[in-house]
Amino acid sequence: MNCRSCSDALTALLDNELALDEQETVQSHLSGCPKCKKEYDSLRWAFGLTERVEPLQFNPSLWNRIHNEITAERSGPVAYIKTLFLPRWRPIVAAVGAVLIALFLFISFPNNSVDPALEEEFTQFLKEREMISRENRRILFEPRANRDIRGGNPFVRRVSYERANPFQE
Amino acid sequence: MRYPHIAICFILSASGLIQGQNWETTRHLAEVQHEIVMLLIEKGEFGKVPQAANEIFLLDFPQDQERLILVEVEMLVDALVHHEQITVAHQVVDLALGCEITDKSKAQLHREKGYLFKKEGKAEEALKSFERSKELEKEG
Repeated sequence: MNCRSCSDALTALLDNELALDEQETVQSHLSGCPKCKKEYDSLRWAFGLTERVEPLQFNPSLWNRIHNEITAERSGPVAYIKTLFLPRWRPIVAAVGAVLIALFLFISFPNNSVDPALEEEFTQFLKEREMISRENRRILFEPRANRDIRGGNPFVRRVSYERANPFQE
Repeated sequence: MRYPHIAICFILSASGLIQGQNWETTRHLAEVQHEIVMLLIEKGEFGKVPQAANEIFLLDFPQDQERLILVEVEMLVDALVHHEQITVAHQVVDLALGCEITDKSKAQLHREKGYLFKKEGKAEEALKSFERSKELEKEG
């Protein structure tokens, strides 16, 4: 047995987890190797310390609660969100966030800047167009009361478009 | 030929006469078709109006008489707006826009579209149409 395999086996020896022949091999090495013996003594001293400590008394449901919280955190949305704040994801998350904010602003506040001169001109056009419209409606829809069209029959209602026809000379 | 200038004068006068005759026919057809369109509006048969109006727009108008098409569109728009038939009025203007007319005339028709959009309460579209008319005026 060499020092490395002996060192690996020391903890198992102290826990009585080695088979009898393995124990004998390790003991035989320790008797001839002061370096490993020193390590063994150090470990045995540490084990002795822990054996002296009284085990803590805790609520048996504590472990289950801790386990459940860990499991929930690993699989829940909170865990997913937390992964986004990992340092390696931060630049990407920031860039995506900036794009989304810009998009939201663009949709919410579209560029409504209208040339005031154009708007003014359009308003003027609408005014003139309304005047033309009034005149057109007067020609198109108001019957001429004094006009005798059908052999002087005053009861015949007839609208004349004569003046309203742009093709008439 | 001894007198070529006389021959040329004769040909030019003849072509002018034919052109004049053609225009008179077109004008008369348009006059009759206008009455048909107005009757359709009076009878409330608004669905037939765009097609009937298009018969006028498809007539071969000389460029110097295009203003008559614009006056016709203006009148039809007013008649249709009066009957709250703005969608039909839009169709009429669109059909007129589809004919072979100058950009200046198209600009005028886009103004009509703007007027109709305004009537519908669509201020943004109205202004866009007006802007388009200004662009066409510049191009023309």
